[in-house]
Amino acid sequence: MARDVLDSVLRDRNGRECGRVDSIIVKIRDGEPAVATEIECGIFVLLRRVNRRMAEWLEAAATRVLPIPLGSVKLSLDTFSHEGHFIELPVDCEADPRLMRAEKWLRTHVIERIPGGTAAKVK
Amino acid sequence: MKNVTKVLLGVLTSVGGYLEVGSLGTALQAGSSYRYELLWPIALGTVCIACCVEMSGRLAAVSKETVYSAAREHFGFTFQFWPVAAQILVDLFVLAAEIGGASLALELMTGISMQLWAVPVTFLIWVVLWRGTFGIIENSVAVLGLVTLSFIVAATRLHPDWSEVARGLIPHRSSDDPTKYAYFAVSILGATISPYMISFYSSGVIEEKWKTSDLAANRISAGLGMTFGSMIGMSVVVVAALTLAPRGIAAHTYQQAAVALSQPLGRWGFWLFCASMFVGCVGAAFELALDASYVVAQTFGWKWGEDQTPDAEARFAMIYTGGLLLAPLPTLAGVDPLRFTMVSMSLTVLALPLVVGPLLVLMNDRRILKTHVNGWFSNLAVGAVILIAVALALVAIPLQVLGD
Repeated sequence: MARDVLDSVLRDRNGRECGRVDSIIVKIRDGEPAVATEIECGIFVLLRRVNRRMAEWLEAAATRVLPIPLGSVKLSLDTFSHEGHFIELPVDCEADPRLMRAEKWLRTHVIERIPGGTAAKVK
Repeated sequence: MKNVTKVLLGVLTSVGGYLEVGSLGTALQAGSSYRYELLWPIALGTVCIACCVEMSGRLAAVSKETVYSAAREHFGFTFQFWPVAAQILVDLFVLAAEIGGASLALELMTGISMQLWAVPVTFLIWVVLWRGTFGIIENSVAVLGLVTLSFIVAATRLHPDWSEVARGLIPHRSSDDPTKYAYFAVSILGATISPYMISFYSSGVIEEKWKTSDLAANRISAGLGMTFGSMIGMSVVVVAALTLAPRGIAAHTYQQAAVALSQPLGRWGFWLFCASMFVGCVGAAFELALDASYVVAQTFGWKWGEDQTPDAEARFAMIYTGGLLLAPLPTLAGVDPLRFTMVSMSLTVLALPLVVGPLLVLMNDRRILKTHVNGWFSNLAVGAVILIAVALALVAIPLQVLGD
């Protein structure tokens, strides 16, 4: 299960790609096999897989310095379906305040303030 | 007819985009120092990159996934972190070298210091990426890049001894300063087998919506495009060998090398040299800045594509914007573009095994490629590329120190 889901692309109900499964939270039960309960998405959760100490240091530094919300988000495993190499979420990630917080912050605070940031491209 | 157009555009883009600061700088130094003796690394590098590019295009056309996207799912992030980090670092270094090259071309044309040109050049690149579509970028690289054909015209007009040129295509050792010779050979291979071409090409196949039915077009445009492109690189070596070497000009700087086309093409030669350098560098800078965005977005599973408006995926636009904020810094600091180019090429060589290695595994995965997995010849080719890449990575830094 974990191998199938981990690192898969998350797609919302409109087909918008909104990240990947960066980590899986597993519940340990006495005398029974461990069971995956939630998926977790976020840059520092991801970096923890490479080096825990580096991830914690970077998270502490980024939280202090950057105004961009970079914290992780946990989603229940019951809410999604697995389609090919996509994980389909039954939500609209643009409307859901838990998802794509850094994307929305950058869009509002940076991109929309630069001329041409919202205009159709020249073909 | 549609496929012919696709192939033609693919070939033109490869030809127009072949010559950039790395391939120009290394070829000029090689030709002026060793005449035709270093033509073989261009030929060898071209075969290697053509094979890799064809595979990355096939992977994207069949699976609708790019190399970096498929690699994250296949290997997991713990492994994929290193190729991604190496690729982004190399993209940034080479991008900085390209901005230095384009700024220097303008300095040669106008006499105004390249440090003053660094910001306008970077802004021009950013505006095109910010406002233009993938098609605009691809077509402008293809059309404007044709000015680099002036090196082929110049080489032909110089009437080289073709048998001597052919001998240069056979790998051999040089008795004249072998360390420097090996250093140039490694730098040429680094400039020719650029890892960004592999990821950029597979992203381009998705942007252009190529399908399994386009596999023949993919094979032809990768093979022919790279072959024709390498002919421009070889022409630079020939031109440098026949114009700079006899006058004892070792092309230690681009300023010294700028007279290379003046002898065969007269007063237009200087301007064509500068125009080729400017167009080649700017074209490569578009691709490198975009490549950094592609690699990051595909690794993290963001919505990506150059045709979307910047606000459709702010993080994608912010990656190339951030890269372009950092890239002009070496030029602004007055770092010599040729020296920076040679360091960038050594770094490229170091990153190569990390990028090419996973490709071999992906290209043999039937879950991704179904019946289009690699045959024995393709596996042999990419295996050889990996061996070359590992060997180059091991010698790159010692040679960078000893050969400089």
